[in-house]
Amino acid sequence: MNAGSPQFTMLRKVVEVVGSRSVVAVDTIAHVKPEDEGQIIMAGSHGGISSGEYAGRVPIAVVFFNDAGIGKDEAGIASLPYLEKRGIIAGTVSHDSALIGNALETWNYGVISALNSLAIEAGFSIGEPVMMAVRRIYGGHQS
Amino acid sequence: MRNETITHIGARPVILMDSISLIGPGDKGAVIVCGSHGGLISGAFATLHPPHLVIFNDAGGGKSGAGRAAIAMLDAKGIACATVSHNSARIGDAEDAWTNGILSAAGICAQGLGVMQGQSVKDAVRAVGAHEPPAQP
Repeated sequence: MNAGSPQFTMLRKVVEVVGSRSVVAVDTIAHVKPEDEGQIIMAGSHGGISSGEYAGRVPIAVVFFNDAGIGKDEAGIASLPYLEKRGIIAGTVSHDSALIGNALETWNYGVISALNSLAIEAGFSIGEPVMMAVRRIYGGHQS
Repeated sequence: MRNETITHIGARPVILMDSISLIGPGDKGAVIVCGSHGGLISGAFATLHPPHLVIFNDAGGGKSGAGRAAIAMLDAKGIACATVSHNSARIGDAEDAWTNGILSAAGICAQGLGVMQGQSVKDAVRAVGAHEPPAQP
């Protein structure tokens, strides 16, 4: 991750398979694709409304964003209720736990900071590392 | 998602862009007020079609100041970049950045255009306008 590098790769990669679902890491939620239907998305993007609009275009199962420090009017987590209305489990990780804009940071180091009701019903909890939570809930790994 | 020219300074459009992922070839040389965080990936998007100035949301800085990392990245490429405080403007909302945003940081290239920490976004854009020749009739 060299800021001065002329070639910055925007990551889009399956980083793990948990049970029947893939965990797809996307540095920007703008890169979510129809083939991600039913999958678990780890985004580097903030969890604001514009990110929710991108995520809501595909019937993904789960998405986690960076909370961007939450900020004014809780804009950094504003997509969570928006996605709940569309049946998507959504949450954020703290901006102190993961580098914003970096999906591998969300997956590897993200600590859950906010959840929609669907995510709580699914078994996610605030304060848990998101990787551990995904493995615990969707299977495939002992954590 | 908003992506709209709202005014001009000289011949340059001033564009409100909720997400920097919407940037296109026609935006080269524009002033972009953006709702996105100022992380490295946002800087990478801006590099695709270099604007005259791009203003991001600082996302509260966060881990390693990642929410402002685009400033140094773009300075290294000669592109002016600044951020607004995430407490002054809603992240993801370019119109709020334009209306209420207060600059939390400005890069070296941005400072060269008269853009300074503590300015409102509108004052920063006016400052850039003062460096511009008048538009041709």
